[in-house]
Amino acid sequence: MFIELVKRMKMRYLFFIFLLFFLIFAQEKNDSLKSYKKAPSFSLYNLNKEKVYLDSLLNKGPIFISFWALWCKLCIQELDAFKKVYEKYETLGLKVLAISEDGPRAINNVKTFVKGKKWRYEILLDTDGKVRELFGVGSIMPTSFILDKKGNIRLISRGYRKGDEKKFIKVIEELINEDKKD
Amino acid sequence: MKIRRIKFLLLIFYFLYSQEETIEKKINISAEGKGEYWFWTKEDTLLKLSDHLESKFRLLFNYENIYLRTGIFFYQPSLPRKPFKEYYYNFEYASNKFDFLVGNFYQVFGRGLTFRSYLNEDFRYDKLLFGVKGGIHILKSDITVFAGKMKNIIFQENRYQYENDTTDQLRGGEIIFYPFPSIEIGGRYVRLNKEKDITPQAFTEIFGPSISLSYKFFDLYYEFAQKLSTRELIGGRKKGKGHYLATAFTFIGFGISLEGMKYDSIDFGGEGYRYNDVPTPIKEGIAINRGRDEKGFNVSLNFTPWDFFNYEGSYGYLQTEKKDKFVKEIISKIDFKIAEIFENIFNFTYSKKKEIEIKVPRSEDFKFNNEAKFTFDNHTFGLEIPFGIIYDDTQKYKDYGFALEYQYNPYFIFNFSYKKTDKKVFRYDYEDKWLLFEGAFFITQNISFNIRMGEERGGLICSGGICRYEAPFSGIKTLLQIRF
Repeated sequence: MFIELVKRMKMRYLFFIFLLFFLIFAQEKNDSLKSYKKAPSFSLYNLNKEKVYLDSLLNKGPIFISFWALWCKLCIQELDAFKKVYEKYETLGLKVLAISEDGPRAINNVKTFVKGKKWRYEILLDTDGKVRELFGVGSIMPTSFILDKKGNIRLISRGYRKGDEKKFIKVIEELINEDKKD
Repeated sequence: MKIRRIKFLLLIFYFLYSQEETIEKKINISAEGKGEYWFWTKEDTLLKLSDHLESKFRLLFNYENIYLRTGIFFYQPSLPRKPFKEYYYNFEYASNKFDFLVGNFYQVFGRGLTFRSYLNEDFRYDKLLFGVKGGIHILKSDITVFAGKMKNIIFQENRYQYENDTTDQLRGGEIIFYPFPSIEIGGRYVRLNKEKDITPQAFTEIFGPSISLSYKFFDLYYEFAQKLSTRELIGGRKKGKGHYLATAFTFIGFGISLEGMKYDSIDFGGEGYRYNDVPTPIKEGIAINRGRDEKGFNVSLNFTPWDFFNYEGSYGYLQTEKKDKFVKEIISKIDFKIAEIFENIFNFTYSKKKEIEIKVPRSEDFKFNNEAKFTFDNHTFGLEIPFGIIYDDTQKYKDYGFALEYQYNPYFIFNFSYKKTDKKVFRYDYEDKWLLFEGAFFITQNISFNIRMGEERGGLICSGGICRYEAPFSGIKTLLQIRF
């Protein structure tokens, strides 16, 4: 069946896919050689209609950024599971920005949901998806980033699988230890 | 665009990306590629499809305030169905006080009563604008103006098609003031000129104000829109209007929101497509006639009395003025957790519909679903049991089944499901059982591959007021996603 499937795909599409693969692998090879990529600067409104600037949160500790939406089950599971991580590391400087990708008509529902869930994260509204685009999130949700205090991206996590908190904790602890050394 | 041009463009983008270090990291480039290939193992008697190929590639190039975006969407079904191609590109300059864009874009005014253009990738629905847009953000206000044309692309019965690809001209603007942090006042206007308008003055226009208040635990939003169009043949102005109200009361561990709407001839666009998209109170996404004649409300609450327990509930109702068509929906979800090891989610959905689905004048559904998950180290085991009782006019039938899931974090997820119905009903398809295997493989952080093998049930699916029929499927579906 697989051979039949390949035959049906014309050579030019295979070439196209091959080229894309090449680009990705080439990029991943570069990642290990170069320094960390800086997170793009942005500002967004929070649920209290105050503007929050990423740059003003730097130099205080690690920042966990999660792109989520009300319709995204896995995003909600991730942010639910992260509650305990936040409680543990909040006093050590961890900040959480939960960036909602819901459209303007869902703003009221976002507030109801977040308060009902007892999430204490800073909820930001990216109603036109511009910040999501800047971070290269694409169509995979949730996508989460951990930034060091200088704003460098130290971890990118796409999707959510149960137990992902362990890898988040590992990076957060590394960053907190780095801060202590500084 | 020929393939060698695509190859050339890709090589240029790769070259630019590899130069990133030398421009002191001021350049931000991100890209996403997605390819889907479907293969029918059982002949699709209705549409005569044997395979389906679609791919999407998007690229963003950003240098300080300058943004260049490009992308291609390509769809090739098996013959005799026609292939479909769409290019996306734009140039944008965006600073804190001023922005300007030319090319393809999306735009939403208010909550969508006057204008809404958007992309819903999961639902495969694209309302894409081509034109120019400008914005000014000064003196505690945001001003946006645009002019352009829109294409609605929908995926219906296993193929992509245009709902509209007209010469309609759209022009509009929105202004929002923020006099105090807790108050927002807005106003918007959109004008539509069609080729069939008798004179340039015989256009359709839609406009209206909005107000938003926010104080600690209380939020309120109200929007009004009025539509004026020209009566065909007889002349004179035809009026339509719409009201939308949303409030929320939120406390720690408890939130309740209420929505109410009344629309009378506020459908803005043409037969089958809309340039606005009025909100629907039904969470399943169903609307009756999308702003022509609808009124309804929704009450939603979210409640966490203890950390291990969460309740989500919703009641939504929508009807026409004469109540000859209506939808009623009740949703209840209970989420229960024991430490990190065990989680159980119980869902109950009740819906009652009159004259909503074609060939189903009345229906009443009771659906239950229980999902349990156990996690040990990197292993997660899941069991899902769905059960439904459905009344379709004169017949009653039951749907039941199970789904088993195994996750090995962070490498893969396997899911095996079996669903059965005790009566073959045309409402979905001619099958009475559906066996499906799904696998998701996370090859690297940036590459994932999904495969689905087996049978999928067809039926009506809706999102944001737009509904489409998903044709039944029997075969293999693969999806490759890559990004950087």
